[in-house]
Amino acid sequence: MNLADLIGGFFAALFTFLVFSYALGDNALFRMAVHIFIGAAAGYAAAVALNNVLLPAFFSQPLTQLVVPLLWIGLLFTKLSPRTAVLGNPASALLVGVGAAVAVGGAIQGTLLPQLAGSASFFSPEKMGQAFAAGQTGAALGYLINGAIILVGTITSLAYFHFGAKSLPNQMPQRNRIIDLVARVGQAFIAITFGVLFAGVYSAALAALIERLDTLIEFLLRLAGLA
Amino acid sequence: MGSATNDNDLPDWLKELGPSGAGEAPAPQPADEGQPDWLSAEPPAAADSGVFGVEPEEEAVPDWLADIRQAEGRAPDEAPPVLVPPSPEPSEESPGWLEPIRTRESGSLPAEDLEAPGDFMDRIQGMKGGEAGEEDASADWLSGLGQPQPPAESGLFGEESGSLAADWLSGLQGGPAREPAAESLDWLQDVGKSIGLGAPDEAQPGAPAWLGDAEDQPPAEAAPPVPDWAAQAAEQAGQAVAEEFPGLPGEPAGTVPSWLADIAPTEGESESATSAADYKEAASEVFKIDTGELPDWLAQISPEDALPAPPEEEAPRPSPFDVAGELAPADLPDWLQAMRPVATVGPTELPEEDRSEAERVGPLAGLAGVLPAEPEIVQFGRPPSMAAGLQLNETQRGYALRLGEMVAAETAQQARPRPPLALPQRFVRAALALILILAVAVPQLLRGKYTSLPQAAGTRPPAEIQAVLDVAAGLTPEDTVLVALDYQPGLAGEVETAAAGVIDHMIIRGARLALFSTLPTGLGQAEHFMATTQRAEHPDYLRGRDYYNLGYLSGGAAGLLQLATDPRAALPVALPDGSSVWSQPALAAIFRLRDFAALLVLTDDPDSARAWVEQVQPSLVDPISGQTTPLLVVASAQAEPLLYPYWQNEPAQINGLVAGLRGGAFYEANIRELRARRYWDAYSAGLTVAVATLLVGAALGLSRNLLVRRRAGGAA
Repeated sequence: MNLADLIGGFFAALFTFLVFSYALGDNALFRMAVHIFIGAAAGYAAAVALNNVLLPAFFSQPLTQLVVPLLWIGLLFTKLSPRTAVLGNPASALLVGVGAAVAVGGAIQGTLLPQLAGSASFFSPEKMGQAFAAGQTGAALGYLINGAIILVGTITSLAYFHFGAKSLPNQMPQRNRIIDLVARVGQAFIAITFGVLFAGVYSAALAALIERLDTLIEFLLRLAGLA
Repeated sequence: MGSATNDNDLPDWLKELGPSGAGEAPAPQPADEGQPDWLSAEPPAAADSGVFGVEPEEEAVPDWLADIRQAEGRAPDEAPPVLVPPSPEPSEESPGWLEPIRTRESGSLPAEDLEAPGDFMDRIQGMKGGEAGEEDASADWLSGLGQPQPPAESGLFGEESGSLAADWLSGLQGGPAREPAAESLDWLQDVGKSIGLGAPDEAQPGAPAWLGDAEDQPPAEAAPPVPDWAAQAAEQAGQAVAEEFPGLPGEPAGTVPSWLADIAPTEGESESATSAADYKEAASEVFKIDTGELPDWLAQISPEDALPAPPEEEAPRPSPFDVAGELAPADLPDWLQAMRPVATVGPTELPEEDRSEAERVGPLAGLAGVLPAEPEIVQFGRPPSMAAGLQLNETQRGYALRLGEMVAAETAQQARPRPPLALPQRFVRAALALILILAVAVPQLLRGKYTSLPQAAGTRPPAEIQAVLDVAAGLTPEDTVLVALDYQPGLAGEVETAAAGVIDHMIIRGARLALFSTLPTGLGQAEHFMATTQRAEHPDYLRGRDYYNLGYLSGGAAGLLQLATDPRAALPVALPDGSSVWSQPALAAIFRLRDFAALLVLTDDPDSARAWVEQVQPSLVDPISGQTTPLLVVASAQAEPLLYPYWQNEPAQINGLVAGLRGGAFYEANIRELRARRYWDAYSAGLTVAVATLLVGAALGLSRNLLVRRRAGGAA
């Protein structure tokens, strides 16, 4: 174990314990460790952006092609002062507009339409006919069941977020009974989904804990000369 | 005044009433000096006709009258036997012209007051023959004519007998037998002097024109003389003015000023007003005339035509200062009537009572109907109070109340409830942490293999993992795999453990790797990953020869889109020698993303993985051949539920998925045991503790709720 590994391992173990101290409640040690992590990450990100993006771009292109990018950068820097912040609005608008357009277009073409087509494919007669022709009756029923579950889960989950209610005089607004019944089914689907997500989060956190404990144990064993 | 002075007392116009007309020279009349202006200017009408012509002397008798006298067999100067009832002694306060009315009402007139004013009237009286007894009343009325008459009773043509006109004329002459008439003429003389009437000689000669207009003149225009009280008031006012302003020229004592002379008839009218019934009664008695004895022009005039319209009986007007304090309605003058805003109120017609409502205050006080629009546009009384708040029904009020309660609950400082558990929450939390840490740390310390991997021998892994295995197994040393490390350092332990077997498999297959990241920390994560997971297994797999670190791809989703379009422009990385990384043998043939053998995304965020699917995956499909460059994802367990639909979709948008430590364990079970197997025991212990904790906690909560309900039921 060289000195760098020793110092690195020491601080890693120290900050690991500081974060673990949160198990006893919020304390200054935990907050100090969090602040250090945030500062280090921000500094590292700035260094990476400067060294990996800006400087290579400046030095790899002729100066004439840098006028427009530098102009946009200058406009963005005007956001530092409230008095000149309005000058940076065009640059901000460009960034937000391009980002929104890219995100929306990608969501429609990459998620919405393909997922709709995939959900409808479970009820495809061609697919069902091929399964029955091949004698795979179970596969065909499996398609129907899966498609039905997806369809019911989608509709009922959307119905759960339907908050429309009919208002009656001198009464509190109440949901339509049919919508309320469907929403209860959707609530079950949402509960299952949240349970799966919680299990995934717990699994991820457990794996991170194991990795941290393994690192500490490895460091201590190495420090003790046992490993 | 004695009879000798009758000629002097008469004014000029009276002298000219003689039968000779304008041709005779009138005798001087001293008494005319006291005549007021109105009396000289507007003498009684019909004087031209000579009906009431006065003949003070014999030579003044006209010819036609002399003929009448001769036809009756009397001397021209013989006065007709007029019987006039005695007049009571006039009151000092009342004017003289009221006395005839009083005497007529009382039915007696002193005989000395009956005086034959002229032969003409005597002849007329004589025509009545022995009807003297019936003419007492007429004589009484005629005696009053000599006095200033009220307008309603000034019957110019009411001469049924000659004594009527003679009495009136005698009053004007002021004979000595008629003392009250003489008294009334005194103030007339004073008024005439005060207004500057000239001597009788100065009077206009000839018959006056007003006598011819008498038939058309309303009786009201016959101006009565100024009463005594007015004369006394004028004298007192004159004395006061003389004392105050001794230098003023003043008026002669005993004269009435012109302004007071103008007021006098009005006052006389008001004081001598009688009811309409009395007027009709008097008129019926007066106008009993034998038309056969009268001239033609007189016979053609009926009493109804000659008399003015009798005043209608009107309700007594309330005084402006009566007890009720209400102002009496006033009569609108013509000019004000013209200015009245009639019919400008609105489409609706005001009721009569509203229009007749009199103003009570202001300059229009006492006038009725001056402002007819006022009742329409003015709201009497207090205006209705308009509520400034909102009109809420019960439901809205309930909403508002509930919202207020919510806001109050948010802002109010609530006392932290005491923990329901017997043990402090911090102790429970520390105990659970300790249990979990021990459960995880012990297997790590023991370094044993107490649990088997999830995939049993001879079985196949899940399809998504098998797909990754198949892609990695198909790599060759000429293939280059683009690896994106899009995960935070906090979850590096899980993601790197899951990806260690996949990368190891690819390296085993001889594929070269091009590492980059869309996160600024990805640059260091790539080196950390290769150093901690692969260096021990592949010490000869070197950077710059076998794998490349393309660095950081900025721009998020837009950067991914640019990468899909032109990877060289998106990641312009230069090596230390100044050459482009794309010039290296492993990347020299790469111009599009489809040129990579596979894309492997290591992520802990489902949104990041979705961005790859949405922005990059469509560019991986060759539009000509339809072949697709596989997109493989190694994700954290928390992102697996959200990425699974992309894997299950048809066609699949993710061609292989390894999620979490479990996925890594499956993968290593098919290749070789690496980090996933090393952590699998601790992972299994941790899951067991978690499940046990959940079960214990659920049991404790259930029992506590049952206990609370039981206590609540017992208390109820």
